[in-house]
Amino acid sequence: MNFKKWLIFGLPVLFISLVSFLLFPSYSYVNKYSVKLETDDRLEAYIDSTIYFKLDANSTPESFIYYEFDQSQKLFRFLNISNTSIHSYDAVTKMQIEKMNLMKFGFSPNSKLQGFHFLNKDSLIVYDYSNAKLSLVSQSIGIRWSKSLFTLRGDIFDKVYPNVTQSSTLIYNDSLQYIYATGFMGDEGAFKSVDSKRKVLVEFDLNTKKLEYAIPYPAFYWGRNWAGASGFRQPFHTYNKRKNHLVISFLADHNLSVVNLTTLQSRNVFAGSREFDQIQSMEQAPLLFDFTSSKEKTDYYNQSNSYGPVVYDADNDVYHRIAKLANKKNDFERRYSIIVLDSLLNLKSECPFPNELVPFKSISTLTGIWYFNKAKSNSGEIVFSRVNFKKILI
Amino acid sequence: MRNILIISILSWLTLTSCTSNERDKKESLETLLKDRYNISIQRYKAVVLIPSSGCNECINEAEGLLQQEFNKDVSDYLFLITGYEHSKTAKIRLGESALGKNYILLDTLSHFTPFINNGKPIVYRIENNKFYEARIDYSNNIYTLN
Repeated sequence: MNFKKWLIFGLPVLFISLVSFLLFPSYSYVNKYSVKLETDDRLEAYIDSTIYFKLDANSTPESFIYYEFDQSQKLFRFLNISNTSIHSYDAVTKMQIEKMNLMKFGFSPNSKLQGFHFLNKDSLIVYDYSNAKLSLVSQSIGIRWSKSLFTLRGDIFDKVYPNVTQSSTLIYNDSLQYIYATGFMGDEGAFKSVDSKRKVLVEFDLNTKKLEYAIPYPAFYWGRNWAGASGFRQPFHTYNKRKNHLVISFLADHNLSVVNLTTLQSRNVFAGSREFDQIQSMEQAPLLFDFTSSKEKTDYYNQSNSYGPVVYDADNDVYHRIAKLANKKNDFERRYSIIVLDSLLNLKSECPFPNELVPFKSISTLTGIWYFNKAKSNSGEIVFSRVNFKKILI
Repeated sequence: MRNILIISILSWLTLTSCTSNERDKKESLETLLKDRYNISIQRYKAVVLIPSSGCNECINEAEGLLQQEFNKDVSDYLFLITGYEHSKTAKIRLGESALGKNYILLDTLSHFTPFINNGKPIVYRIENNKFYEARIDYSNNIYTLN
C-alpha cells in the first residue's frame, strides 16, 4: 500500500483502534461461588391446583399486567391496560364482580400504569411509570394527591426510578403507612465511583411524603456492564410482612439480600443454584458511554444463567427463588429451576420449574403462591396454578 | 507494520459491519415475509413494524399512521404488528376492522419481535428495492414518512 494513502485512510482507523483499546478494554467479571451446596431433600415440583378467571370482552391474559390478592376484601384484582381499569374477582366464585375505570380519575390510555395497591375498600394507590408518579385515589373523592417518587434535585445517581412489575410489586407497610418499590436510575455507563452510589430501594412515607433511597447494588456490579435494564439491573423482591423484611434477588448475585425495613440495613444470605456456579458480566466496559445495543444486551442476558424472582409463601413459610438457565440458542424457549428456602432462608432443595407456568407472574394469597399458567390461559380465561413439591424416592 | 495493517483492517470491518447488518436485516425481513406470509415487499413503499409494548409515545405515533390508512382497501404501507400473544388484545387496542386488512399483519408468534430495538417501532422506506430507515412525522393532522 502506498504510504501516503495509508496515512490518509489507515491512520485515522488506527487511532480509533488505539483509543477504543484504551477506553474499552475487557472488563468482564465472573461472579463465582465456592460454597459447597448441601440441600436436604431431592424434590420434584408439580401443579397441585389450578384456578380459572373468565375474561370479559375487554380483557386478555396479556392485558392484565399487574395483579394482587386483596386479603381484607377477599378479592383478586387485575390491572387491565387495554381499558385502563381494575377488574375485581371474588376469591371464592372467581367471578368478576366489579370494574373500576381509572380514566374517570384522570388516568389515560397514554399513562404507563404499572401497579396499584388497595389501602382499604375506598382508597388505593396507583403507580404511573411515565413520570414515576404515585397517586392516592379515593373512589368517592377522586385523586387526593400525586407525588413523583423520583426527583431531579441533587445527585440523580443515588436516586431510584421505580419499575413496578409482578416480580417487583408495590409493598405496603400498614402500621407505618410506608410504600416500598425497587428500580434503578440509568442503564449502564457509570464509573465505579458513580455506580457504587446507585441504589435500588425507595421508601415513601404516605403521611409526610418523605422519600428515602437505600440499598446499593452488590459491590461486584460496580463499574461493570451487567447488560442494563434488558439484563441484570432490575432487581426482584418479596415481602415478609411478619418480619417486616424485604428480600431482594439481584439477577447476577448468588446471595439474596435481606433488608430489615425498620432500619433499612441489609445482610446477605447464600441462595445459589445447583445448576450453575458462575455468572459473567459483559466484556464491554461502561466507562464513558455504553455502546452496546439493547439487542446485544438482551441476547447476552438470554444466553447467560441468572437468577429470577424471589417470592415468599406466607402460607407455608417458605421462599421460592427462580434460577433462569442459559439459552445458548437464543430462541424463545426458556428453562427455569426453582430453589426452595425455609423460613430462615436456608437452602432446602432445587428442582425444574414446571414449564407451563411463568415464574415472573405470580400472586401471593392465603393459600399459597399461584403462578400464571400460560399453557392453560387463552383469550377467554386467565389461569393460575399452585406449585407443590414431593420427595423423589431414590 | 503488519500489525498496524491488521488492526486497520479489523477496524474497517467493524466500521462497515453496520452496513452489512442493515442488509442482513432487510434480507431476513424479506425472506420471513415471503416464506411465512407469501408477501412480496416490492408491492409496498414502506414497512412499519409496531411492537405491542415499549415506547408509548412512539407506538401511538405508528398506530396513528395505521389508523389513517384504515379506510383504504389498498395501502402503500405494510404494517407488521408484533408482540401480542392473543389477537383479541390487538383487536381491543386497534379495533376489530384493522385486522381484516391485507396490509396489516398480526404476528402473534413473535417472528418479527427480534427486529424491534428498545421497544420502538421501526419504519423502512423502500426505494429501488433498497431499505432506508425513516421517521414518522405528524403535522396538520396528517402522518407522513420522513
